[in-house]
Amino acid sequence: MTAMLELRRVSKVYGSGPSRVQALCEVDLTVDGGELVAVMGPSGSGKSTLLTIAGSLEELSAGEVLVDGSALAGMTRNQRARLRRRLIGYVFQDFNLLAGLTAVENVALPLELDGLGQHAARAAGVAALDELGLADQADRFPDELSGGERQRIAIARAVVGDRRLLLADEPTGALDSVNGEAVMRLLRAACKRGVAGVVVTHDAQLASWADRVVFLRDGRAVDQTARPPGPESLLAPRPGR
Amino acid sequence: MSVRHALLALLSEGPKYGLQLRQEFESRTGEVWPLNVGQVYTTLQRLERDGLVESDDPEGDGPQKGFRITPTGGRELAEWLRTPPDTVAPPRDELVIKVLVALPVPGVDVHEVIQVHRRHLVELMQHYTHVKAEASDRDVGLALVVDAELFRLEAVVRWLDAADARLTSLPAASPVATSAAPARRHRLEVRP
Amino acid sequence: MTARRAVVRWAWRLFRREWRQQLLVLALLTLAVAATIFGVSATYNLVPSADARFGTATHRLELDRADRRGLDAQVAAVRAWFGTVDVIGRRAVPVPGSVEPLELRTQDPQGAYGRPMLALRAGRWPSAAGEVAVTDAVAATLQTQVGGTVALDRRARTVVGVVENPGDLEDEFALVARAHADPPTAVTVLVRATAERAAALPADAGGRLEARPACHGAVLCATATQSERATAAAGALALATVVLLLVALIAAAGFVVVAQRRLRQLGMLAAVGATSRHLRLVLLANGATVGAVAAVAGTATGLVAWLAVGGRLEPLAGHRIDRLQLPWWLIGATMVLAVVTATAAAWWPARTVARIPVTVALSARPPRPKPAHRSALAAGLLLVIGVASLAAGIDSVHDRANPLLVIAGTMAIVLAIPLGSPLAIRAAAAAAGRSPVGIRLALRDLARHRARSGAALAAISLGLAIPIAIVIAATAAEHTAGEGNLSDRQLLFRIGDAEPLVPEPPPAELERLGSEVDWFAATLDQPAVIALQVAVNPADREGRNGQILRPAVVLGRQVSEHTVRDVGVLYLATPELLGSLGLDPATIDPRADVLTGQTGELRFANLSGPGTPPTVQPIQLPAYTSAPTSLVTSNGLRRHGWQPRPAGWLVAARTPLTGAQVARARQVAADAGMTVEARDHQAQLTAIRTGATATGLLLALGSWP
Repeated sequence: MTAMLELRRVSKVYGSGPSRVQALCEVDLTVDGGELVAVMGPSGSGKSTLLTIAGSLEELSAGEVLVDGSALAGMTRNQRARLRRRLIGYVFQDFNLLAGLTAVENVALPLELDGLGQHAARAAGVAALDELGLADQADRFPDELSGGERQRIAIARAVVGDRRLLLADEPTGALDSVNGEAVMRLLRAACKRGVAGVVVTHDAQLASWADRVVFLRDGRAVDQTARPPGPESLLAPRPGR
Repeated sequence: MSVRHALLALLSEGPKYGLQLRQEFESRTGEVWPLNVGQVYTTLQRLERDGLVESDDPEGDGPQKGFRITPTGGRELAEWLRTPPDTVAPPRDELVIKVLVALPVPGVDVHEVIQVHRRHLVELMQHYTHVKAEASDRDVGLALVVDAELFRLEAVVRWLDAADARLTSLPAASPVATSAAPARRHRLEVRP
Repeated sequence: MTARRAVVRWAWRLFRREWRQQLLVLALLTLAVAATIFGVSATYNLVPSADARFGTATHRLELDRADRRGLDAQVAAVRAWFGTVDVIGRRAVPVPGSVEPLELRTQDPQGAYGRPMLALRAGRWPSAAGEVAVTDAVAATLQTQVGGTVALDRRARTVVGVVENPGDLEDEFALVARAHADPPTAVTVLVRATAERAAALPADAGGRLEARPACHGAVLCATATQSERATAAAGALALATVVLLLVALIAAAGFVVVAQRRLRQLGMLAAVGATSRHLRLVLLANGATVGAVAAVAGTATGLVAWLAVGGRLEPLAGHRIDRLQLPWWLIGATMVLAVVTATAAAWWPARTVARIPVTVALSARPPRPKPAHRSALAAGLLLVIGVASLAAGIDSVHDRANPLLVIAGTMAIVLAIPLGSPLAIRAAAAAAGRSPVGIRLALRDLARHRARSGAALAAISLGLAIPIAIVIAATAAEHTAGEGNLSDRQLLFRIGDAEPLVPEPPPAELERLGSEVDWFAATLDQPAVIALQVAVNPADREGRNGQILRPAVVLGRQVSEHTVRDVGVLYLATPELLGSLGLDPATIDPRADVLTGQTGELRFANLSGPGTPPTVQPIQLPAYTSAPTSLVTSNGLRRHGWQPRPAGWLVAARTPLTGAQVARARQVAADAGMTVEARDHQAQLTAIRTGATATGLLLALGSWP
């Protein structure tokens, strides 16, 4: 099975001469469908850049990025936009939703941009919100909703329409721990359904929700955690009952 | 860990037998801290001696012995619930010591040491989180305990991040110990 | 496409939420549209229509045979050729005390083609003998009203009504019933015919044929008036388009601000998969919406303003105005133009924003401002061009202004201001170092967010430019007002009524006349009375009606071998007259015969004997044709053996004369047996029209609230 997202020796350089900044240096990353990967690192380690490059929002300086087997390098701007409409879902830390649209219109936006009719798009949007338990907020505007609800709607938008790559940049950054946990549970549930997920965070608690944690430092991937063994090994052996 | 007070709390709900107490304690704490029967009875005896509980039969000693909380015990419990623990000197944390002593050792990259521990801690956290994820919504006790551990581990990870940053900003060849001594190092107060 | 519909839907929602942020651009555009609508309506209605002279006819035939029978025969021949005709008879009768004769007109108010030329304002049409209806100015001159009696053409008549020519309110005449009128001295016949038919008119029926303008002779034009007006209004629209362009520049700056405010959301849209075209569409849809709202609001405002003010423009226009007669298709075109302009203004900001990389847009950092050097250079250049144009356009020496140069100069200066603004803002921000925190913050923010400042400054500069432009144009209009026979503060009393022949009243009579003039002048505001004398050859004299008249020496210009054109009566250069004209007697060359501003081959004329060339000293005098324009020196008088004779008085007041004062002057002159000349209405109107054109253009620039 081809990996959903593959980064091969990806490098990114900003500026030139004295103001040259190496944001990423030969990073390798592979994410399969159904896997939730967290990328941890201090600020300036290049985690956000990694995500924008994986999400086709930015050009890389060297290396290759393959999304569902197709390389981003050869794509035109419009082809990349199509990728973002159909395949990739992006969740930002804040200000995800467009102010003038209702929740369900926000969720259905990528579908409508892709040419799906208004009714069909709305149906898909309502379905996505329903899965997240937000169906009754469908016709509210973002400024009428709480931060946690907004982030969950952003996730609904990121998974609507059979998207298979979900990229989240500090999705819980503006939320308290209760809402943060709810969001992470949602991401995990989405990944269980076959979506490949990459979450960038500096928060260890949230990174611990992932199947695998990759550590980034000064633009390089320096370490990653092993797959966790089953939960039973943690608990002390029970005395017989 | 204050088993005494936990037992008092259980008894404040009503008179209970010794075995019953043990069972309830374990189930309420998500079966993470198993209790020894002997430990339970010893603690109950001490409580009785201190006048915080009383039993049906002060002389008897069987599994059917019932225990009750006394008014004194009730006051003791109330006070314990409301009193935060004392501030104590920072515990002799093995990890902190490791980092501190690793600094001047030649040929050792402190950052690597930190990363190894960070990875280990995160792996641990991953395990705990998966436990929490798999658990039922109603198992509040388990969730609370797991959360407590997660936050504790997170605190350590955050200390590692801070240490990392502090050490990165140091000039290369002057380990902490031999830096120009500050005017006076304040001793950390240790309260009993 | 559904994607486009979704994008437009979002753009519309955003506009509804945030329209207040675009209030500046909206207001400006609305104002521009309103002013354009007003200007177009005004131009459409201010254009004088040929209806005033043609009614609904296509041709006018002027017949002026001397004898009555010949005239009747001519009219019959014309009627035979064309079939239906409308005949207007004219007869000039003198008005006591006035230089101008009054036209006694016979016209059938229900005539075939002449109906648009007559309207009844009060009373009724004259039907019986001895009845007359007059226009309002005639009534004022004769100091009469409906029910009064006047003596016209040696007959007493009763005034039964007040009439007017709606197409030309300055057309002053007295209407009498044809049946009871004296035979006319001239006849105008109105006909409707094709150009070929009119041209083929037999010679014996011929007179002076005049075709209706804008008919182009070829086709029987039915809607000639409409097309004249429409052409003028279209011209106004074309001018307004230029102004709309200016507003579009400012709107573009405003849309750049909008684009920057929405940068983050646009970045989000791109991250979700919108293409550059979708992003551009967002801003273009916003521009179109702004344009549509401005079009509707501006049209409504402009129409309301026109309906309110339109009626009052009738004196300015010189004809009646039907406020509801509007070029609706031009108004529609203006609305469309507003939408197109606003959308076009949004195009360049849309293109710029759509090309910003997604990550930059998401971070919503303001773009680094362009260096101020280039725009400052352009600003300096425009300023120089503007000032030069204005200087060339306003010629204060000759009291003339070239409207085109004035307008071009004003626009150049207005354009220079927003281009120079970045430099000005940078300078201000740099100078703000020591000012209080609030001011410093505001200035630094303006300097960083260059687009915001550009829009604000451009709007302010346009607002400031308008009063400046109005002042400039008003001055220019004033300068073109130096035309006509006399200024609006002057009256010329003449002894006798047969210029350039001068009667010789006895000294007692002369003194009486003088005191009459002085007595009248005393009623004016700070009057100056200057006695005028002309030069006469003592040997020349003429007799007329038992009176002895002397021909005054006149200055002429030789235009061909046998023709000398009269350029003005020579008045004696008395110290009084010289002083009033601002000339110093000491500067006069003793060898000069004549002081004049006229050029060419000058001769003395109105003399018996050969016309000799005078020795001329050139001077500058105002160009009023009836006031003294050429003076003869006392030396010249002596050299040619002429003698001075009193000819009249020039009375000048400090403020413009009212109609009542002029009427009283006429009365005084009539009673004393003199004639008085005042400023001709036509000249006044030309000046006003020039001013109106300039003002109309400026109205299109948008009025300052």
